[in-house]
Amino acid sequence: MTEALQILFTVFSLESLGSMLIGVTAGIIIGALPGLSIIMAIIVLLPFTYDMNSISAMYLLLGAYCGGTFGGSISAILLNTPGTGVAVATTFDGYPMAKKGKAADALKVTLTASTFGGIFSAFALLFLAPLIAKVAFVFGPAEYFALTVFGLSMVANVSNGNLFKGLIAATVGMLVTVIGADPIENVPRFVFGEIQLFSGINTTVCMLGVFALSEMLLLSQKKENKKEAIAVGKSTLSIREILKHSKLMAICSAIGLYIGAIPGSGGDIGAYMCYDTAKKLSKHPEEFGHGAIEGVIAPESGNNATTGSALIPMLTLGIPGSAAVGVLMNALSVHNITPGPDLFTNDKFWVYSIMFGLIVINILMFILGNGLTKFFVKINKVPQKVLVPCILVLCMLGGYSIKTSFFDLNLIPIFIVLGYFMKKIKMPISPMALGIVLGKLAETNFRRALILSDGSMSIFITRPISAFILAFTVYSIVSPHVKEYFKNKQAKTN
Amino acid sequence: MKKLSVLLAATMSLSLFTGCSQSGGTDVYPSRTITWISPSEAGSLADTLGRDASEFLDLGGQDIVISNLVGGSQSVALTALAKSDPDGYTVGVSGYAGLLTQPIQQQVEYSLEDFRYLGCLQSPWTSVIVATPNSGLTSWDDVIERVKNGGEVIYSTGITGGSSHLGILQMMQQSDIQLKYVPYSGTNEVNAALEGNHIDIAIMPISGDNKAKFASGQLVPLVHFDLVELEGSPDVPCCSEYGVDPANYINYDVFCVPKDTPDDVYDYLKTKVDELIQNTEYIERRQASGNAGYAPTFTEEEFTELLYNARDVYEEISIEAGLAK
Repeated sequence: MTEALQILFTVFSLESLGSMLIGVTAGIIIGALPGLSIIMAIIVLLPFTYDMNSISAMYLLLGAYCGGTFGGSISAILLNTPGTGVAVATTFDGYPMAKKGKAADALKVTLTASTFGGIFSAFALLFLAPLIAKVAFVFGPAEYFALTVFGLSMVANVSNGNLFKGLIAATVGMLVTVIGADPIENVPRFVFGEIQLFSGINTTVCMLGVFALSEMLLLSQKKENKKEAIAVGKSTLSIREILKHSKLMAICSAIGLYIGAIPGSGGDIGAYMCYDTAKKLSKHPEEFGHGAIEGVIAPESGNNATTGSALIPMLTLGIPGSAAVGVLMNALSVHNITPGPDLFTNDKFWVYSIMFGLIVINILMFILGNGLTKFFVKINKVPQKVLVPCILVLCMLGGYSIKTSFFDLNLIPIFIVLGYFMKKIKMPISPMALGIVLGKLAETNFRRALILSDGSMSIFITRPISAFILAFTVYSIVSPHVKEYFKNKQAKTN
Repeated sequence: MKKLSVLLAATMSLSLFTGCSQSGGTDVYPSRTITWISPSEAGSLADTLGRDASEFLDLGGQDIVISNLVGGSQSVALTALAKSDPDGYTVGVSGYAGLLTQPIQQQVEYSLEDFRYLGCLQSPWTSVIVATPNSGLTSWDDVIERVKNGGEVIYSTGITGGSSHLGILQMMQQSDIQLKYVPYSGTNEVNAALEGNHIDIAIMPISGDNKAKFASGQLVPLVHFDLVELEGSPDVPCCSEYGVDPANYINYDVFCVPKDTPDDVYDYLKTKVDELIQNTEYIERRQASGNAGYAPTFTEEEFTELLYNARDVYEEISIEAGLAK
């Protein structure tokens, strides 16, 4: 009891709350800027933690981590430009919502779903961490590959009714990931003697060009029409109305929770899977892609649920669940904290202070997010002639800052042109994002699995989890067509 | 279309404009800002080497600016360093990946001969071969026995062709066994694969996290590649017991300058770097940020010889394993 009280005092001390507030604010702002990643938000704050106690330091960095995950969706909704990779799926319905004049609603839905997902995973971290960690590590190469196949099957959902063009876009995305060193044999592919391409093309650089800057290019070509501009207004949705979807939020949070705990998967895959699930569960799947509220709730509750679960393998086993958590783990070494099973026995107070603190961070994110989104939503009042150059500069800075590389900057125009022409010929961009995110993961794990099985494809169906995921993928592709067939048949009979 | 051209031109100009660099200077060295080329992402563990150094190095009161040139397993940074003016105003740091394995395994525009070496710090990547408790392997002899009895042992490393990978390949060569290799990317992935029992053994850095795992029984250390005994696990044998020289696998972060750097400038920098790596405050800072702190002092000839010897060994193993270019 005394220890529980001490934890409460620690979490609600001025120093802790101050750290959380600064972390969340910085995270939301950095996450909302296209190209600036969640990792960058953490790295920017890292030097400030050197002189802090380890708990406040973690609160600051975790605040940036959670805030950044939510912040990425702000520009995804307002500018069709995901601020971070995990917010790509939010553009599918968030931007159409904003175009319908519901930008404030979309942001409120995002914030509520993000907070729900974040708190859900924080509770799971508090009560189920060791159990989830145990299950997550069952995933080997065959299971990972099956998961990516399931993810790629979503191309049909995000192709806006043109599956052929969607498949081409997904293939282009996957081909981009082929550039660079072969993930298995380390042999360079399509680098044309350019050493800078050896590490491959950075996903963010590609996304900045294809998503953000090509959109700016199209915007700059349009004559500014104030009537066409996205209406800015107050949200018409109440929190209670949004929480009517709490069942969907809980399902997606559970998916995000599990995906986030699998090392190497992360928020982007979690968000795609949640979007797909929401569409399948919806009574109006035809509204997806055109501003469906469930299409925003699902990816946002899913990707924020990965924030807590990505900490599970780190805290329980000393293995970070994502790159951002890897940076958090490095930060811990400065404070002589070694994550792993011993932490739960030797430093219970520290572990539970962090876990409980994560719940408070998500609540603070909701409060702060409410204020900041009111500010961000005004971005649509900015005239195009000011907005376009500002976004251009921000994106270029973002592209440069990933590796502080001028080479990356020079790649961006290639992707602007690619994105521009894809949009001109009405080729959907989202499948390309799927290809980029899942391409390398699919290839690497497919080949790893084949090495393990000495070249036998049976590994994908003899391992139960892999077989289940693949069977579910086939079901989710085939079932709508079968249902439609029987529906048509019944209609004919009648 | 006109607006398209204007926007693209603006994008290109912005990227080219930001690439401009400063030049100029006087005859007295050092008289202007010194650029420190770091091959790692800003803020990463390896990057702190340069950032901490810039704080502790006193180069006549001149500023040190860190330039992060990331990519190509450190070769982007080393290519830039090799091509920079040999005037002492560009200093670089690299691990063995950029200096040794890349020139052997990839087409790069530099070699060991293109640099002069100022000093080194032991990087955190000195290795140890570990097994999962579920594998039933408790020593390298167990590994040999299982394979020679027709069994299979699956191993992994964080970097295909990296020095630790070459280390385990040499162990296999010396023990006359073949293990099945499943590549993973980075130590975190390897750790996850070990935890899930998807592989049996792996070669990992000797880090604080891993030492804690040895103590808790989460991982079983089999052989280490260090000159000193494994802290907390003194019974774990050194690779030298299996005919592998650990001196080739002690990874160092190496401070270097272009090969034509004049002797007076080189001597000035060498003295300063020697002072730096003996500075206890600097070493403590390195250790606090999770890096190894061991800082041997070598003469230029000694260290160059050490690197050349390691290169010969790496080359031979890379060729045999089909990893050489």
